[in-house]
Amino acid sequence: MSGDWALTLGLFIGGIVGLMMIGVPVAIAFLIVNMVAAFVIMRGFDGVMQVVDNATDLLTSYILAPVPLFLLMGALFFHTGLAHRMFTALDQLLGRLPGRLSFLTVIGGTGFSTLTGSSLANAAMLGSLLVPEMQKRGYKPHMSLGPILGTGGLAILIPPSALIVLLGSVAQVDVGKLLLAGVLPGLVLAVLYAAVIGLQVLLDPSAAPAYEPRRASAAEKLRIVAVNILPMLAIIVVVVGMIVGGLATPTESAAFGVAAVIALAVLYRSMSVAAAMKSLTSTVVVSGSLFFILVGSAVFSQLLAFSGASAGFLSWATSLSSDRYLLLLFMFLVLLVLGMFMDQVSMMLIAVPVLFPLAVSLGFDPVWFGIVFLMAMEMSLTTPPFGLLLFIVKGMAPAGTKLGQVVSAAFPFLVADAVLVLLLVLFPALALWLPGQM
Amino acid sequence: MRPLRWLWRGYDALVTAAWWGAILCAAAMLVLILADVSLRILGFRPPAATIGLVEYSLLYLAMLSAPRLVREGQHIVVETVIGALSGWPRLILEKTIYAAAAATCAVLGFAAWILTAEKIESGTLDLRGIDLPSWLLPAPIALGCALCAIEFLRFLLTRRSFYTARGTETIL
Repeated sequence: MSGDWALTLGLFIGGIVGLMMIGVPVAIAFLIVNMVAAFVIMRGFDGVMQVVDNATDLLTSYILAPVPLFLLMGALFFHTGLAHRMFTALDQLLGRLPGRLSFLTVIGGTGFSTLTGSSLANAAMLGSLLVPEMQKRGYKPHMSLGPILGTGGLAILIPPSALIVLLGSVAQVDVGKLLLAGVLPGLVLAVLYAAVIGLQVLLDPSAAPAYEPRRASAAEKLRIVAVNILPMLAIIVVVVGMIVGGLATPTESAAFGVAAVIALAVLYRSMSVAAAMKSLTSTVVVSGSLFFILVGSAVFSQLLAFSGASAGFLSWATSLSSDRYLLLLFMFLVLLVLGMFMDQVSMMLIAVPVLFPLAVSLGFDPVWFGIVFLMAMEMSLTTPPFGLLLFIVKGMAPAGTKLGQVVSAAFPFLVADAVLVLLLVLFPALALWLPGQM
Repeated sequence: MRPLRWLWRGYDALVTAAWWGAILCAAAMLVLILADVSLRILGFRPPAATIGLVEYSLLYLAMLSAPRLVREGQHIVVETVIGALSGWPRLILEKTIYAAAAATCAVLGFAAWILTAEKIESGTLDLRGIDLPSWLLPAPIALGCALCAIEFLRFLLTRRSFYTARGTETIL
């Protein structure tokens, strides 16, 4: 019997991964495996009806509502030009500093990620704005591409993050707590990235030559902060503060975040019908495709439990070692390997039903484990061979840049990610303190 | 030929209407939640239906947008293997994928139609702040999957490729 659960689990995960790898749309890959398994395991065609029933239950869940709202907030931020305005403001605030454009990437990227919640959008925005400028200023590829690769991934961790909401709803962990748990690790990671850049400039000053930017007077800087930075900070306070203060649920604060971005765009006279339509369209494209995958994966965890695969895996994994940190390392490596071959949503839907029960049975806090899980997802975005950010950044890199150069530029930032995971293991309060204030 | 043309136009209008329905759902969710919280802050009693309507909007957003996303090749896909193929091997793999996807959507859509019919016949209500007929839950899955099946069939029967149909920019 001991091999039965392994075979079932192998067929489930192998089937989905195999279909995905040959190019079947992710949602359809989940649907094929789940419908066949439901037909076999759950009384024939009644099992397929169960897929429909579960899909309606899963999708008509209020905790999923922040997903389209956070995406809309980020889309509005882009399409109304607020992102560009904030970036220009930050640029004017930094003085003559070696590697200033690399530092600007980290500061701007951290700000963008709090407002967009989208890693790929974050990287695309930073890359299109900064790579040409860094190239012009004589920055070496690792100094221009590395910070974009690192900071691009921050949006997964720093709220508002659509993926955090998805993780919370799939893993049945409090979404509000999970959103807040990402704040401090996200900020620590930004500091670690800045330290990596500082070290790189120190070791090789010619990699990011200093130059004399346009000087701004103190009064001008004050005006820039008041007009272009503080209002954006106010939006972050609206979104995160309302959750921390218990004034609103994540869904409500997400809606107010959208309203705040619209109000700001109206104030700056950059709101237009075209920008609103573009934002709504991209929101529906992204959330529609995400939710369709959820429809496909609706009975996945139920089938794993029903077939005994979850219980079998749980008892097998816990029998491997009594050291829970060794098992945590094992889970982290599994996530990294999965993330090398598939997108973040698929990875989440496959791994959560298997790994979350194991983590909880080992005594790990589910909110804390959620953040470690997100870190694995963030690292996998920049891990070869299929890290999506690698390809996005390669697409924006100067002509002739090889994928190997992009990968080596990402490496120091992956080390910084690993340092943060270590800090999270040593000091769980880094993730759990802020949610504890709710 | 004329009836066929009208049939095609009607079908196309249905897919487009479903897409606009999905956009309307996204906008409605925002308005509903903002109105609910604003009323509460102002000391009024917010309508009990908000949460239920937002929950329905999520399901309708997913299923009404799905056919257009298939048509434009916007569903998430890993193109590593298929992208490396060309000529006949790629064509055969693509056509196999379209056939499997169309069949899968058709079976799921059929199951959803059966559930919808059963719920219409039983006349049961879904109680969640607002009492709505329970057939409204499987109905969008039936419609969305049926249209997705047709869209995949179109890829199967024509020279268009799902993998090169991408038109709209995504931000995730």
